Amino acid sequence: MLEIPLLIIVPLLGVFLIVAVARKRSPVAGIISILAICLIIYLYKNVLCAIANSGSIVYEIGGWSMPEGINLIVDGLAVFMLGIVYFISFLCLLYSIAYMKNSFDKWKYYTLFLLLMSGISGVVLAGDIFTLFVFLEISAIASYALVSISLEGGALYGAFGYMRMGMISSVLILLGIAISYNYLSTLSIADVSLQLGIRNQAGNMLLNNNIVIIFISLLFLTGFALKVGLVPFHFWVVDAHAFAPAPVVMMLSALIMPVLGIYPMLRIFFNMVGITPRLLSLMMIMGILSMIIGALFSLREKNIKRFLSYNCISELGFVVLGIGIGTKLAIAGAFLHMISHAISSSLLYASAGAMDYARKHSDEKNIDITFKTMPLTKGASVIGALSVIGIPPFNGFWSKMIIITAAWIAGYKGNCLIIVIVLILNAVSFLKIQTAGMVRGDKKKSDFAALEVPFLMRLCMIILVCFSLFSGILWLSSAREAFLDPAVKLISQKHSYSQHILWK
Amino acid sequence: MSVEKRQYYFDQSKGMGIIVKTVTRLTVGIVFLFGINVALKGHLVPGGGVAGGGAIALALLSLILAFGKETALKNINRKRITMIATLGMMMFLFLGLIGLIGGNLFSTHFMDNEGKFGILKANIIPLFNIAICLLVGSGVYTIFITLIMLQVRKGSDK
Amino acid sequence: MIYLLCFVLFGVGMYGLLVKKNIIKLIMSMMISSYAIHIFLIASGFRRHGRAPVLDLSNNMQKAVMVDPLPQTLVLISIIVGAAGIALLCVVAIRLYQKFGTFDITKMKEEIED
Repeated sequence: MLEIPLLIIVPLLGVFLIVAVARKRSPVAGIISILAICLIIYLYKNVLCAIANSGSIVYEIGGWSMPEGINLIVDGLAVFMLGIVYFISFLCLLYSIAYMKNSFDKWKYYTLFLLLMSGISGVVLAGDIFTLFVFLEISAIASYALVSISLEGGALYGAFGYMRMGMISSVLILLGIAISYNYLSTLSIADVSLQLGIRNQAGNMLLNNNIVIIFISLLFLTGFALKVGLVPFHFWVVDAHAFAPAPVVMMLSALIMPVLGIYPMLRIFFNMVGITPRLLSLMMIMGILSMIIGALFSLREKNIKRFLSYNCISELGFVVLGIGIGTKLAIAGAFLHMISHAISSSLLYASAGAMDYARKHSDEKNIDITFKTMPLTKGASVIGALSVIGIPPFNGFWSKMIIITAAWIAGYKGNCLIIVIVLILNAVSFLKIQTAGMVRGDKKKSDFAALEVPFLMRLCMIILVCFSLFSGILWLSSAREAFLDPAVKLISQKHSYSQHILWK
Repeated sequence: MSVEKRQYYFDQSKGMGIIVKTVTRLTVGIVFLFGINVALKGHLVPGGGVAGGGAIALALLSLILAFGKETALKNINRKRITMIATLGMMMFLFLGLIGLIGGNLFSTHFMDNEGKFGILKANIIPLFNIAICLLVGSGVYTIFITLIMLQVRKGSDK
Repeated sequence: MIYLLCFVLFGVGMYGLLVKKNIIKLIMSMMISSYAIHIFLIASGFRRHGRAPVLDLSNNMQKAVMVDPLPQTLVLISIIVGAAGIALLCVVAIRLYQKFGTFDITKMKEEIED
């Protein structure tokens, strides 16, 4: 019980400790943030033990009871998302301690990082839409600042485009919240669902045809699709990814875009306003479009970070497609793909960042740095690429296979064809960019100095490679029952959520 | 008033003219006290920490506008004001955390609600108001001095 | 009537956000559209002849005609959050002006791609 608010408070305390103590002594900032993350992971383990018995916990802040007060709710889906968040952000922190070693004003970076952690925990735990919105804004503002932290022209330009789209999305979400409050006089997610159910039974309106509900759903869908960067709204993604430092991009693609976009989408559509077949097919179309367009545009790119950002759009398209198919198996596949996307994209960005790091820190400026001198980085990059393409032992294969199977069973046979074509396109584009990285330097190996990156970055990549190899285990029965099934169950049974939360 | 102070007072190049300086000198204290008043009475009448903090920040900002940024920043510099903001936020968090000690929930009303003293009638809400007031006042001021201290020159970093 | 004003303001803000090229105009459009929503929220909490939402126990009869206090809180929080975002946007705009010497985003894009 005690741990739930502490998941949000501990990073905030870390923020203020860094501002108060570590402005001059910047190594302390890294130590404080590592300690904060370790403490959070310990608390998360306790929450996991508590949730295993009871299914869901409602934490009432200040003792104000459920529909009126501010509540934090932990259930299967929240635990699942928090697991991904803490795992990836811990690795990002390890990576960034080595990566940001020589940069100016490190304490600002760590402050923003911890603020982002606190915001993301809040988004996942929030029990009403307005709290969700506030934490969404906190983490979004922290991530805008993180993208522009290097203060170069390109980074600032990318951050401005990101902010413009982020502001549009937050305005749309706020409008949705305002209209739904005006209509139903409640903000709590469970209570909105309950009220809608009552009105639906009383026959005052039909859920599928009520114009206000449709309007609210479209506002939320547009707002959160802007945050994810799905295809009609994907313009900010590439500019924001291209110039930001590597750990920030890891966070952006692996955590910020899924957690700030897809998680609230799930919460609001499946647990709050109720999903309709029309919305599902809209989500499916968005997913397919972003898969195809991401893969096609990535063929054209030469810069590796821009290439990977298009690839990231296409991967998130897979997740949204899996949700849009809407059967239990497909949603499980989408969740599994969320994990595998987090692992493989952070692996790819870690290796790209390692190349950047080596290029920046080499003594001779004109040396042509390739993968030749960095076997581990090369291996990490290749494994990430194989995982994205979907070669069997790696994680990408399992999740994509489950999504394809689910699409086939649900009767969307054209979608299976599109997925396979997208995978082939991915393979071609990765082959192109990997050969560009490997073949170009035709000098001998002895011409280069030993340029492997620092230990912490290598450690981070090794851990990610291990998880990439073995995360297919998650589909085995015991792991799936502990981790995936509660989340899937929560999503697939629509109206029991509110009763579960409100009358415990 | 000493000679240097008087000279500064008539100096048109730093800050605004003498009328503005005099009026600001007279009103800043009142605005500041009004902000504190609004923050402390927030649990009884409309108002509260945010409004009071805003008033305090505006009082400080009018000092910058009237007297020029060098003079104002010499007295209230950025580091000190950031520390005050941090203090306000820490106070808010710890007030919330005190509720956890007795095995209660976060930000429980932990005091006995007897209402013997005027300000404690609403339990911990006035304390929260004070924390928020510190936070908002110094936070808004920090934002503005950060914007002021950026040197704007066209294409200077090109 | 006031709802119509909100939606007109919101439309103006959205038009500016999507069409304008100048950074300062973009920031102003963001502010306009978020203020439109604030007006909408406040208007949704309005009660005719309502008074300030402070509970006065000496006078129980007036409890029914209080205005809805929740939208006011929401607007207050949303203003603070928006202000933080706008401040960050202003800083980024000033930095961009330092780097590129212009406020036009298309010119910036050309300069980056060169």
